[in-house]
Amino acid sequence: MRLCLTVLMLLALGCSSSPPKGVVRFRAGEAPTHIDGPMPDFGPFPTYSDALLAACPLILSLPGAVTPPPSNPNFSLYWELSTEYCAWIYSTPDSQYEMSMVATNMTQGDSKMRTCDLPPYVRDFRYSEDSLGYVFVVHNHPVGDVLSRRDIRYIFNQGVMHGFSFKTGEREIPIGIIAFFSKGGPGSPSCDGFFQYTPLTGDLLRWTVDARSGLKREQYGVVRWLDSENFEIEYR
Amino acid sequence: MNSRLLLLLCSVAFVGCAHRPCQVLGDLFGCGCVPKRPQPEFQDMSVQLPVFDHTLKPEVDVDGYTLQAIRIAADDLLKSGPADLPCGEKQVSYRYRALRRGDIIFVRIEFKPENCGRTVGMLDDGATYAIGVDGRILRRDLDGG
Repeated sequence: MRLCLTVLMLLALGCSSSPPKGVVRFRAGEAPTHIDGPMPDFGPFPTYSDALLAACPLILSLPGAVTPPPSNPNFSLYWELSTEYCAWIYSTPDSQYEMSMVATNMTQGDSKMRTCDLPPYVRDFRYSEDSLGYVFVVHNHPVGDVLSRRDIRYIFNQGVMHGFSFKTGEREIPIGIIAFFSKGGPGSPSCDGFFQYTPLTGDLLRWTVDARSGLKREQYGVVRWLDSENFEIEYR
Repeated sequence: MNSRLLLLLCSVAFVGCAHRPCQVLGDLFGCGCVPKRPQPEFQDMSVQLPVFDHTLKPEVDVDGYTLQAIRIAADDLLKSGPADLPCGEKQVSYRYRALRRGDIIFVRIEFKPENCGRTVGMLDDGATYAIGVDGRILRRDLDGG
């Protein structure tokens, strides 16, 4: 009986026609060049770390953002209804940090893939387009896997477009990509950490959120680009 | 219990997901229901067919088992129809690479943005398969799980 209720609830979520507030749906592979910002009721934040830590629980709490582990007997059903979301965290000329609206693909359930088609540019009507700084692409991995090779390639290509870093005041801010994960499962999707890749340094990092000691940093690999098309990963 | 659950799933799928009930039910019962594309009965005689002799250098030369593995992986990952799918979910919008090791063929599928008229891909837009020469999917690793 409990399983049936879960199934009904999940199907209702998966088949809902209107996206949650702040979420925009694009047809996969056909996203426009711009996504609007800022995300309503989100920022601004004085540091990009604050924006990142605020984005993590917000994205993971969206419908289908988190699945139970593959060992769960109903995993295939959860995966069928899971959804990948993505957004930009960007800086404004006021040295504040905002998040764009959150993008997702319109038909996640029609294929086995969980992808997210994020437009490369943010449009924040309060500021001129070239005054924004691109800091992080943030997204969720429903099971909690590490960054995929396609994620690494995606942010490298974004770095080619936007620059691999930008200067704000005396600071040099590098562009990077983040994949949030939760160990809590769909019922209690807490922000338990994230994976990060920064093309400028090549570092692959795993950050875990610890209620007592804050964020714990661990390097799990380094990416070496052989040329503009090919790279290798040395795992540690 | 299982049959009641299946019935429940079917009815909810019909009511809640009316835009693709055929696919949902087809998936549930393990059968595809994508119609084959109708082909014209006449031949276009204006198209000149090349002679596949020793002078011709084909762009692709694929063994049948490899073709089977690529087809199985592609059909598993992406629907083979209908035509109104978003560009990023069409099989033609992807790049396919294969490697045979004994009786296993490994297939890598990745979105090819150029086929959708753009230069940058999507996040987590790839998957890797291991397919036996008997056509069984031995492993499926989706990006971004």
